Amino acid sequence: MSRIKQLSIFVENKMGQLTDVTTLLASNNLSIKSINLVDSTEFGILRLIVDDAQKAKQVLDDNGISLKITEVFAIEIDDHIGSFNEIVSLLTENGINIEYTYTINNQENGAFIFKVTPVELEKTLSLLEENNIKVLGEI
Amino acid sequence: MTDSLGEMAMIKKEIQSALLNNLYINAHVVLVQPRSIERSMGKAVRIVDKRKES
Repeated sequence: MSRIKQLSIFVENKMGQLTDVTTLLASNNLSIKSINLVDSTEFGILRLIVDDAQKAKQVLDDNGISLKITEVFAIEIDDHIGSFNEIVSLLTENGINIEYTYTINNQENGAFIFKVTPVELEKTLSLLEENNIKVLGEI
Repeated sequence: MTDSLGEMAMIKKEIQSALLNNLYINAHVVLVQPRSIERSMGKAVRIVDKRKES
């Protein structure tokens, strides 16, 4: 299973919104593996990868937090100059548009997280496999 | 809810356009969490009774 479920959470641009989400996750024993927050002047989207996406969705839904589960994929970082460029170039050369990307690190290794359009996801994963690029099953 | 800031901004614009086209109200729309707007309790109060009790 090379698709990773990411929570995309709507957050208003006001004091305490982020704490509301993190408090709910912590009090329900959910572990955050990666965080990416993008914002505009009025609101933001908090993108999280947690250890149990379905449970987190249930908890946040039950507390009136608006969110969506999005499928992304993770590629293990090969720690040399140009490794990110190699992946981005491969996707670009094959006409795959990257919607966004960010990185994650844990104690053992790091990974690039990528989001492409849902219709291009299967094609992208096949392309990476053909090119012997290691896609992580879990984080 | 979408995963894109651009699409969220489009939703806001669509709501603004719908209000303008249907109700002729040029509103400033702010997206908030579902069910976070407090429901009005009872009718609007437009008359203040200033009569003194006799």
